This record gives sequence, structure tokens and C-alpha cells, in this order.
Amino acid sequence: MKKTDRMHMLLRRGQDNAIAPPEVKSGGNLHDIQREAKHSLINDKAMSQMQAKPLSRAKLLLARFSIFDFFKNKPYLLAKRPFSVVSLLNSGAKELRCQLKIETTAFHTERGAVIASAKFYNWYGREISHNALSADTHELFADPIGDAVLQPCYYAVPPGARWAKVFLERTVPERRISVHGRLRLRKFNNEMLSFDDVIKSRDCMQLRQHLDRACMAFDRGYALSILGRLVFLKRSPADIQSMKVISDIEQTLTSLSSRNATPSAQPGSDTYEYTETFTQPWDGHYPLSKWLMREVTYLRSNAGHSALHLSNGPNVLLRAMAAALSGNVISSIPTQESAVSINWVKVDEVFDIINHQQASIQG
Amino acid sequence: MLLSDQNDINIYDTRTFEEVCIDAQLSLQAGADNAHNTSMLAYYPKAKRNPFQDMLYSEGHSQGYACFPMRQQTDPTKPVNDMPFYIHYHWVHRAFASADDRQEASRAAKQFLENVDAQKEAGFQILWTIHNLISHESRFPEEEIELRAGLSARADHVHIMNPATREICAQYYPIKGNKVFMVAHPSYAGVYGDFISPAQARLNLGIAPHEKTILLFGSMGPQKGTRQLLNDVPAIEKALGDKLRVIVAGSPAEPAYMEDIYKLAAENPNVLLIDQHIDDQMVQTLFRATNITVCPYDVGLNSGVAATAATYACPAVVPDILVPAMYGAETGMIGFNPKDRATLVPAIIRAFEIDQNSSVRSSLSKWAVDNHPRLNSREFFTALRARS
Repeated sequence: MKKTDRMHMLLRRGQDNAIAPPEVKSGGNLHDIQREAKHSLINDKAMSQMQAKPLSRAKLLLARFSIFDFFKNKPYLLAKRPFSVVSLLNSGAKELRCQLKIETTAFHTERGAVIASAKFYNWYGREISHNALSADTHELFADPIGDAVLQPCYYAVPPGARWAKVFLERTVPERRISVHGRLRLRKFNNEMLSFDDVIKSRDCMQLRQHLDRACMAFDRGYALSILGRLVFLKRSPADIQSMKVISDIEQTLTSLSSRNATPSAQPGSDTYEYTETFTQPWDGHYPLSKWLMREVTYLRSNAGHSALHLSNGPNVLLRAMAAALSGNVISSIPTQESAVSINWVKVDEVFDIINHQQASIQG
Repeated sequence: MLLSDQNDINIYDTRTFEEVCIDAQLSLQAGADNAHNTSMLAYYPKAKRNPFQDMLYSEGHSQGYACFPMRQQTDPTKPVNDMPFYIHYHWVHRAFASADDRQEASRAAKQFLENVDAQKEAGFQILWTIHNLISHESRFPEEEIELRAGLSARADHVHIMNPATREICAQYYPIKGNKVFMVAHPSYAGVYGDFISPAQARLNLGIAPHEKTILLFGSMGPQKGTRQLLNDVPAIEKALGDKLRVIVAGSPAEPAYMEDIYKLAAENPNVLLIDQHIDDQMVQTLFRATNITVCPYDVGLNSGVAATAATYACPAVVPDILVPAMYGAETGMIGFNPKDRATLVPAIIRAFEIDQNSSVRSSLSKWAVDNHPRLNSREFFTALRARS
């Protein structure tokens, strides 16, 4: 049956269905069938729009040995069996990259539709094992026809490598997948994309570089944007947890800054020496608010409503935040110079909160 | 600080062990009236599909215990301040998961016990529930016994569900009487659905109302006795004087063993083989459709399958050492001697005889109510607290 015939048949089934109440007929209601027919149309259209063809046997052989990089000029269909390209490396390159556009006949973007990986060999063809093997495997998205964007695949070159073999493997056998782009690995000069570009890209390596930059600058907003993109692209548990931790810090500091101390103890009354944390100091791997809640429970049961004497010493910032959260009066504030920043929290942010809180008591 | 991908967290629960401990402590502080008498309990390994642990800990919070799984045996390093902290071990043969040979298994057992020593040293209390004499799928029996003996010596508390546990285990490893406390295996009341009638269940499976049916339920394996039972079907039919329908349902075992099962099932059109994990919603259909459940195991101290059968008031044939574990349901539990397989067929015939006895079914239903998971859970924590 021709595809157009099948489509007409589906549309006819939809019209037939409209005569009887939809729930009487098996196989879905009118809306479902019309949608099925519409999708069939789009699918057929997509199939006809995809102009990529498979490589001929001769071209395939030439491509495998990198004699010609056919994929550079126009898209070719990826066969069901994995495809590999061998190329000679430029000596001295430590990081290499290829950039590919992947298209699918599906109506939507498909995650991990193509896996690109690389192996490295010395002059004599012996494989060089790589420590970070997973880093050399990229799960690429396939986009609907006309919507494909370049996706970089980075590879760290192990010492002594002179040959590289790039493998492309499709994971969705049901649909046609085409590849367009240079398959020869090229030197990567570490030119950094701008934030506006990187946030729209699928370049996880550059996104992580921006994240490191955000970390150095204690810029939580910037980091959350980058992490949001990384979580969307990779769904890595570590990134999800980092997002939780950073956004929790943001909320904790906001809530602390709007919190007033309860002046239940007057300066000069009982003082509690809060010299060290009751629990293991927060290590940055889980939300700060949880650590603070637990610490404050211990602090309240030990200090009651006494004024807190915050001395210089270890974990000043953590103790200061716990003291601020407890609502107790702080009778002495350590010097700002004695404190060191902790993960994603700057010294002056915490001292601003404490100073503001104590000023509100005195005021 | 950014987390590295090396952290042992997964996408559905990204919390670190320390974070879970804090959550546990905060949840106890928030909810418990007896906040001064609270404890933490971390268990290992977590069963992915078996609901036993969720049942056992179902009343934890009301009893002042926050219970949560450990992802790795080495997760806990230090108890939280002065709060009692239990490490509860269950199916310890998981220690051998990555061992390929006996040497590696022996090393794994040694490492496991060293970790237990370190935990005791750090102030944790060690609790062990003995589910089996030895695991059903034991690949390294000698090393597993060595591990069990070591854990028995180190554990502060040993939870048993069969009163004969000490006596049966004594041939392989001793368990000191002063460490032991007995709380029976809970029923599955309220755990699985139970609304389908037997007639509907039979219709769903294509079993006629008059057909005599037996069920072999649970993950398959050489020590489960499935192969032998399928070979025994002609003898059972002869003794019954009737055709027999056999349902074999559960996750498949290794391919070589399954080939035998496929062959035996293919030879008999009355065998319905469902070789996949059984969804919770399917459990009631299987147990409601059957006359009796058969647990033809070579070894067994406790059986979740027998407890499930009793929950659905379905008589069961079980290894005779398992009968005392089902205290209160004995009339519906017919024992056979696993060392003498000839006793299995008469036990099955006896089970068919009592199948129609309404008092047997009533006693099984009563057992299920008396051993409701929440009641057993309360009993478990009460017994544990009494020991501390």
C-alpha cells in the first residue's frame, strides 16, 4: 500500500468513526484517529524531506579511512550497523573535537539517538587505553528535519596517540537518522562561547567551564542558569543535587536577611559561648538549610534564650548563620577578616545579615 | 563546591547519606511525641521489589525509629551525636554480587565483616534479620556460611521469624540465645490489592472453574524446586485422579536453567508459565485463581510466598521446617520433607483435601489479620527497644 493511500485510509476511518459514538468503536475516538492520520502525514512528509541517502559501498570505504570526509558537504544516512572513521592525528593536540548535526524523521527531538565515541591508537595500531573512557562517549540528540544544530564531541588525546577512530552508532532503529558534519577530529583551541550562546547550546564542556567561572565568582544566579541547562541536557544526579544545594543557599540567605532576632535576652544577661558547631560542619553536598535546622535545634537546647558569644575560630560563617537563624541576640560578633567564605556563600553576605539583624534589635 | 559524578546518588533520590540522616533526625523531631526516645535505623541492602522492608518498618516513626536504606555498606561512618543508631542487615549474600570466584567471594566476606567491625567500633548497634539458612541463589555456599557465622558473632541483636532458626542454623553457624528476638513474618494484608473474585481471577487467566490448580510463585531458580515439581505433575495427576493446571509465575533465573523450565512447560499445555516480574496488581489474580500454592524449596526458614498465600486464605505446601514460622496458620500449611521428595506429592494431595474446608480458610484469614504488617512492625520495634 502506498503511503498516501494509507493516510487516506486513516482519514476515512476517522470520518467513519464520526458517525457512531466514539466510545462504541474500538481503536480510539475521532480525535485520536485524526491525530494519527496527521502524524502519519507529517511522518511521510519528513521521510520525503530527508534528502540524505546512504553512502555507497565505495564511498563508505573511502570515508572509513578518512580519504574523503563525505559527511562534511552533505548529510548521509547512518546505517543500522555502527560506522567508524579512522584518521591521523595532528601531533601535539591534546584536545580534539568534531561537530555534527543529526537529523531524524521523528516529529520530535530524540535524546541519545546517536552515540559518538572514539578510540586512540599509537603508530603501530595498538590501542591506548584511556582512564576517563566515559568522557569519550557522547550521547547526541537527533533533531527533526530543518531544526538540527551543531553538537560538539570533545576527546582528550592520550599521550602517544597517533591515530583516532571515531565510532557513530544509532540507537533508534525505527527511524531514519542522518549525520552532517566533519568527522575528522580537529584541534580545539578552547575559545569560550559567550553566556548567551552557551546557554542555548548542547556543549556540556563549555557549560561546565562557565559553571566553574560562576563558582569562582560565587555567582549563584549564573550557576543556576548553567546547571538548569546541564540538567536538561544530561539529567545527571550530581548536577540536580548541585542545583538543589545552590538554590537552597539562595533561599536560606533571603529568609535569614528578612528574619528579625527575638530580643528575649538583653545584652549583658547570660551569655552562651558558641565556639564550635554541635554537628559535623556542613560539607556543601546537601542543602545548607537542613544543616542549619539541625544545628539550631542543638543550639536552642543548649543556649536557651541566652545571648550568644560568637568567637573567632573554625566555621565562623556556619555558626553565625545558625546564630542568626536561632533568633538569639548575638552579644559579640567576630571580626569579618577572621572568616573565610564557604561553598557558594561569601563572608560579607553573612555579616551583612548579622549586622542588619542586630541593628534591628538595638533600633 | 560542585558535586562530582562519582557521588553515589541517583536521579530519583539525589540525597547523600548524610543528608538522609539529617532528614531522618528532623522528621523524628517534627513528629514524635517521644522525641527524647528516638533512634535511627539504616538498613542494608535495600530490596528493590520485595516489600518486606517497607512492611517491617511501617510503624517505625510511631515507635520513634527513623528507618532508611544505605546504598553502600560503608555509608555510615559515625552515629549522629548521642542518638542510638542501628545498622540492620538483611540479605547478606549481596556481598558476593561482584565476586566471580571463590577467592573473590572469600575476600568479599572478609571485607564485609571488617566493615561491620568498624561500624561496631564507631558505636553503631548491629542488627541482623535471618531470612534464610543460606540464600536461595547462593553461588558460594561455603563463603556465605563463613560470612553468616562472622555476622552472627558480631551482631548485637538477631531478629528471627521462625522459632526453629537457632536450631536449624546451628549445624552451620551458632547464634547466641541472648542476641535473639522472635517476631513473625508479617502477612501481606493491605500490601497487595485484594478485590478480584476467584471466578474473575480464573477467567482472567483462562482457567475453568472446575480445574484443580496449583501456583508456584516468586523468582525462579534451581533451589526453588520448580523443575522437580513439573516432573512430578503426572504423579500428582494420578494421585488426584484429575488433570492439574500449574501456574509458574516469577522473574526468570539464568538462561541455562530456564531452558529446562521452558522445555518442561512446553511439554504440558496445562502449565501456564509467566516468566517475568509479577506486577503487584497481578498478585491477587494469581493467588485468587489457584486452589493451593506450592513452595517446593530445597531449603527455607521463612517464606514470603507462604505468607502471601495465607493472606489470600490459600493453603500452601511448604518445607516442613517452615510450618512453625506460620504460627496460627498451621492448619493451612502442609509440610513436606525436602530431603525426601517423595513426600511432596502426598502433601499436595493433602492440601487439595483441605482446600474446600472453610475453617482452614478462616484460620488463614485470621492469621493474615493477626499478622498485619503494621502490627508486626510495632511488635518488632517494641522488642528491639526492650533490648536496648
